[in-house]
Amino acid sequence: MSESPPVVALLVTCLVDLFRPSVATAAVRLLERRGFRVEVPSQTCCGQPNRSGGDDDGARRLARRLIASFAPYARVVAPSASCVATVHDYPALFPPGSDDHAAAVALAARTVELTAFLGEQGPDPGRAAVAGPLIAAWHDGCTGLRRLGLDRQPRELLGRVAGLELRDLPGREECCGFGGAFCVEYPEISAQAADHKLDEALATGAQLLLGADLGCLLHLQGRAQRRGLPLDTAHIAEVLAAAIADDGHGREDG
Amino acid sequence: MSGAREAILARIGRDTPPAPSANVPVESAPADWAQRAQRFAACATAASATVATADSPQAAAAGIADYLERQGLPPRVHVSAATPALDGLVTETRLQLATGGLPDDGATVVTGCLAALAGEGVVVLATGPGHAAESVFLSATHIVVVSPGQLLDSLDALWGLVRTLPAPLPRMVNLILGPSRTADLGVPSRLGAHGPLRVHVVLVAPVEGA
Amino acid sequence: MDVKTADFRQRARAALAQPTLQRSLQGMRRAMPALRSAALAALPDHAALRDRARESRDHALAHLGHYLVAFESRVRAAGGEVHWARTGAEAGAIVAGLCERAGARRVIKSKSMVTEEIGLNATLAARGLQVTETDLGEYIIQLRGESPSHILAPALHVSLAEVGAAFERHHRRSRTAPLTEAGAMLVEAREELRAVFRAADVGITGANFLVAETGAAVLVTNEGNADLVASLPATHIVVTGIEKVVATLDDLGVLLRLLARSAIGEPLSSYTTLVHGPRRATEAAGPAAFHVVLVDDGRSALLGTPRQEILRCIRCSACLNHCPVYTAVGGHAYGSVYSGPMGAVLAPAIDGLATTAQLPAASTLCGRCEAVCPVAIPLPRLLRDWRGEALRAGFTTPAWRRSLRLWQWLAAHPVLYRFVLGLAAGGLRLVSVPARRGERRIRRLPLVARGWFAVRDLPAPEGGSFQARWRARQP
Ligand code: SF4
Repeated sequence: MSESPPVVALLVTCLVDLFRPSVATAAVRLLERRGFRVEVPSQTCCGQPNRSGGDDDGARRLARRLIASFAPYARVVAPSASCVATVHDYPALFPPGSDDHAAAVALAARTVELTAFLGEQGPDPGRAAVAGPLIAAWHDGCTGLRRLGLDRQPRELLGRVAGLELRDLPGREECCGFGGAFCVEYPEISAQAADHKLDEALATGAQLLLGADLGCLLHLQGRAQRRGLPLDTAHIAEVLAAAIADDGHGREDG
Repeated sequence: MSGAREAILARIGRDTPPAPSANVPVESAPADWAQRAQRFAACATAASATVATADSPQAAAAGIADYLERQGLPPRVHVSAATPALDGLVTETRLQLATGGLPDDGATVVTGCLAALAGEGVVVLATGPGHAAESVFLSATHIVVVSPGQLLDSLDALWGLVRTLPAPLPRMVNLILGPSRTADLGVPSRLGAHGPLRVHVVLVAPVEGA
Repeated sequence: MDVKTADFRQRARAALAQPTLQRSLQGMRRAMPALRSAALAALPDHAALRDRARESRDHALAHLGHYLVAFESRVRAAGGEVHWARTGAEAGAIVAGLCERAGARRVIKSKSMVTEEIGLNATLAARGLQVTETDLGEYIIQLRGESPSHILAPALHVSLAEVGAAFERHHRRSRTAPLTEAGAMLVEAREELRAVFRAADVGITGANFLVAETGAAVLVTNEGNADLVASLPATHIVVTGIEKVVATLDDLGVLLRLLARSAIGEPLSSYTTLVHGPRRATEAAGPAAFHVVLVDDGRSALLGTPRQEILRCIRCSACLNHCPVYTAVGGHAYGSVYSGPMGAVLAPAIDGLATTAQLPAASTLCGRCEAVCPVAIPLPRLLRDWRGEALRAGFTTPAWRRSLRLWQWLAAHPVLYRFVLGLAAGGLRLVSVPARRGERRIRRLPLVARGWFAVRDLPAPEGGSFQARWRARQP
């Protein structure tokens, strides 16, 4: 390991911060293994709920805060496609030519989703394995798939984990019905979309449903719990980090 | 309400635009007639039409009589949109030609055409003194005979042809791909909703060496 | 429009409990995407064609006045008349006047969403005219007294048995057996409508496109009914939106190549017809009178706004067929003649946001509509724009406005934010109960997030926020 490893800042995201700190811990572990030093500046929300709700004023205020928090960092990594897409959209909140706009453009260019970032680093040199055989289905989050073009990256990362067999869902381009406030405002419609996804996952023979967005995963897991389905959900970072742990090498390989 | 035109135009503006794009990013069909015919047949049959070729208008007429026999349809046919490609009909003794009036439901109509489009499997008919659109749309079986020079590349070639037609343009230019169908009574689609149940296209081949 | 969208939620719930509708919708949800993508994959360069399609629509919209006037002068030169209507009511009055001029009693129509939008059938019926829809799906829903539930398949919600029952009720014929088979229904409808076609005085169609270059009104159908409507009666009236114009035949070719592929997964529809005016002096057949009614009805107000892009829409229905909301609840739930993502963007423009604010809200913004739209309309962005408008105009619930403001305020106070987050993480953990495999879940909470707990549990937080853990671990 070089004397001063490159630094990345972690954009934790609200749902991870509140519900699944282990996703962020896993992300840190994965980044450190690739030789980065991770910093976590004080942060709150990227403003996605406000932006999606049409509250651009509120979104703008939160965008300014987040831009300031992450200004010192050359790379910002987040374990959520939808939060990254929100940051990528920041420039639209400010008039072109303004300082805010320039800062938004700069942050957008430096911000990247976790699996995309890990993919950029090339194949992990170490071994990764889980105590298998474990059959998992991959849920393509809409924002990840269509806005960020995440398709190959998570599949390649998981493809290298020994003991894990990854299966695609036939309706992989379909939304799971989360949609932020939508899932609370229109629960019945949301549940129908979730059920399509869960039933398809079970039909592939999967025991585990994996994704890269905690919003989708909490919604899907909550629905699976309510229906009493034999299906677990996990964030890709958790599985990848656990796979490293299992191989007994750890970060000195990176 | 006479003010509506001016009111709407005032809102939407009337500036003169730059020339619209003429580029159409599509593949062009082969120049060779036989390959074009093949392409046409593939597209038209995919849309539930049937396609035959004939060496001459006489052979086309004989082929039509055969087709009607095979389908168990009466030999009586209405003729509309006549072109030289239909010249063989009068000498084909197995056919009875009906003239005047519109076809009844269940009738067969034989037409020429303005063009056929290899890239789409479409036949194109234009209304005029010798052809009313309803003679096709009221019939149950539509047989189209296409002259060699009428088999064009694609939609874009058709537009080129339309631009050369003398003014005024035909009242109706009908692009027809296979028989009439509907999906309103469930999947799969059913043929013969309002228009013809069968579309049979006879492509007349160019004379060897021409 | 008299249908109100205010109770979208209620209608959506009813739709989810309707087995026939659900069967049709789920069939469509499973079948259409594959058909569409296979048809588009057969194109040599779909992306380039899509760019070109978008460009051609943008070009026409940017110079809408010029192209409409060009279209108008060509129709006039061919012997037709062009009428302009600012509103649906104006358009209805024009059409009614034309029918009167023709001395009409019987009117036949082919499927037209614009005439649904302006409630034309009711207007004409009120003047004592007998109006018959001839598109089979429209005919079925007309017999049943309903409105379309899909812009291309208006009777999507009706089962075959219900079609049979409607035909038995309305077709006067002696029967030995009940009507149960689709083929027999088709034959019967064809026969019934033949008589209607031949007796009609006026034929009304919409137009899929207007071509400025030649003055063509373009009719696209699979059944062939529009061609008969446009041929047999002595008067043909085209009623269509002002945005339908395209500059040239080349543009038309580009859009036609995408329309049916996006809509039904076919290279083209069975019939594409260019209509240029009334019958010529040399012709024995065809309508003697030809009219085009150009309807604005809220469209021009979209020009020059961020929502102008919806005017590119060619009504292919791909966005409906790929939408998780539309395919769950169908068209009637929207309470507007246009449904799905395009409907949720158009309805507020046509009917006003006061009664339609729920429609743009009822979307996950999953973006699949934009991805499949043949003219690349950024539907999610337009939905979000309407949400903003609704919020500013006070058409959302006070509770919703409060929660957005509260969240923004909380997130702007990091110390407080972290405190509340930590409290929530601990509190939720506390009220959780065991789930499978050592997980924990929350079954319900008093007063908050009723919509969440209506259909799902909440997986319990691990307890304590990540940021708190991280700070504790730092030296
Ligand atoms: S918005 Fe796009 S996808 Fe939807 S109907 Fe219109 S053209 Fe088709």
